[in-house]
Amino acid sequence: MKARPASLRAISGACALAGALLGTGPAQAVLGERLPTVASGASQAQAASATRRSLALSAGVQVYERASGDGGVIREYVSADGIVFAVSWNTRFKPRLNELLGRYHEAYAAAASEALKRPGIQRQSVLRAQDLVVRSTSHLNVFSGRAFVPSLVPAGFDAALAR
Amino acid sequence: MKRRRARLLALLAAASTALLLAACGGNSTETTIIGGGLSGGVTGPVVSADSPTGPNTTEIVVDTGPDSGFALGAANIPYVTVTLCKPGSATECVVIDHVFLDTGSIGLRVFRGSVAALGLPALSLPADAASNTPAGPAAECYPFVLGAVWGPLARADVRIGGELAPDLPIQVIDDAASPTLTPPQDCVAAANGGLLNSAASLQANGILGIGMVRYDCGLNCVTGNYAGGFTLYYACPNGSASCVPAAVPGDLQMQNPIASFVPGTDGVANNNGSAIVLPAVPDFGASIVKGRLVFGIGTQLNNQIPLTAKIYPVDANPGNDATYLTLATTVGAKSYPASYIDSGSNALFFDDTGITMGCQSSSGSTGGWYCPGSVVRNTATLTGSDGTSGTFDLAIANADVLFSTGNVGFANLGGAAGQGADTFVWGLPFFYGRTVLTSIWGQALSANGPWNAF
Repeated sequence: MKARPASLRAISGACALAGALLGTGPAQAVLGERLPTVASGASQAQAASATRRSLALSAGVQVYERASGDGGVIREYVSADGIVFAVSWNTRFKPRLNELLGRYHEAYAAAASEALKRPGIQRQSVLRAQDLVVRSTSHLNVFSGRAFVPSLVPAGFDAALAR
Repeated sequence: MKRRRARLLALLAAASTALLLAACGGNSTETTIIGGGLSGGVTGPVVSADSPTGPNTTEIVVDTGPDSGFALGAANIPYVTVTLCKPGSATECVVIDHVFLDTGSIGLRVFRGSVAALGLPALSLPADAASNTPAGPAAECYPFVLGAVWGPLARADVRIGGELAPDLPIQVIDDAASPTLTPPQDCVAAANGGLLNSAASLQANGILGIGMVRYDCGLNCVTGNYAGGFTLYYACPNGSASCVPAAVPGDLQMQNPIASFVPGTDGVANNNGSAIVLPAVPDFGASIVKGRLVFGIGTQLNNQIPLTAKIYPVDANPGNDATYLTLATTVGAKSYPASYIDSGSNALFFDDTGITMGCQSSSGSTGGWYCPGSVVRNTATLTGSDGTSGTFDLAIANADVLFSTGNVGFANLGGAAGQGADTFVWGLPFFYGRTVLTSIWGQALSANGPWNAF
């Protein structure tokens, strides 16, 4: 397990869990839904999440980090009631946002289509669609971004500022 | 044109109390010509930096782009002219103008329509059992934050100015109504459903990616590891339906053409980086900006690091996932730890909720330009990964006013990066009035890359 920033306190042992299901990809926490590892305890959904670690933030928020598999990191922000209200990514390949955004992906896709009407290369993007905010940037082979659902953000927590 | 002028004057009157200042000064040679004379009905200022010259240089132009037509908001795009030849041939060549000069990507990508007559050899991949890669022609799905380009790889002799990168892997973007290779569904998804497959959608006839690394992917693609993201390289042994994710050895990946430049007649290879030299731009923009792209760093008399410049290393530790290949920016109390210098971004993009947006020229969810009532001026501190720092003035003017001029080069165009964004994108406005050097990581340099210097 990697060293944690001193300002963050680990409160969960979720990093050491291992699953038994063969052939699955990394367990996905999906925006707007209950984090499987938290909600159901040790389960098959945790198959490839052994590297996931949990850090406590303010307002009862936990952030779960997991390796994206390409050298990058995906973070899932979970409120005290276990709902994923934000995800962020720093990856080497363009992330499959449909897997991270879940039911919010359709709205994102529509907003992205609209934004693509602006010609030319776009290196950064801010999209708002219904109850969703997605900002992202890509430079060389580094992709980073954050998506959050404003209505799900716990009171007292600034999802826009969390890193 | 008269109508445009009248509209501009009206807007200028409305903004008469605003002090519009260019972002920064500079010491490059500069001439300003008011008035037309060039094709396309040029009415605004033309500014140019005419030096340095020589076989390791070529002209940069910021103008309304290729013939496909200029789109509102597509300002500040720098172009160069590139010559592509069949490998080994000095006569079977095409000259392609308005190729997007991009320090934020790697490799040369041109449209099939412009090179079809050359019959460039396809780039074939070897089979790789470990990754289940079949032997066959390579194709790439190269994504941007929104959109992507798709097409096969080929080999070409690439000539820019007096430099030659022989037998270089390039991408041939499929721009045909019926593509030679149908993009895989996964690529359409990577493109957000919007493949950039025309000069109009790209606002360019191609992309010349000369960022601070050599390869556009690196080790992940050598092993064919696309975990966590969209596949970059495909092998297509039997046409469209056969394209599958591929492992690609480094020398077959798309790569920075500069790193492959061969020594000139002086025996020196200008292959370790580049400088972009652009003149300062007036407050209300320029209709044409001309500058110089200079190859090599410290390899010739004309490409020495300026005495006034500092080297700003970027974070070269891939383990620092949030700051890899970036440097830090602070503006007042706000910090942007994951910032980058990028000729391929057409404005300064950063989060400052204190600057008014709501531009008329921003539409729907694509909106995002800053439109302050009067020019916002600030001083930014840029800090490299080794602590080297410097301060730089920046100005953000009203994008509606700027666009209304009909000009295309603006030193004070800004846009939002989203609340809380930790990236300050120093796009082309930063380059005006400066010499900005971009080293290539891994190439021989007096100070090892990757870094920018300015």
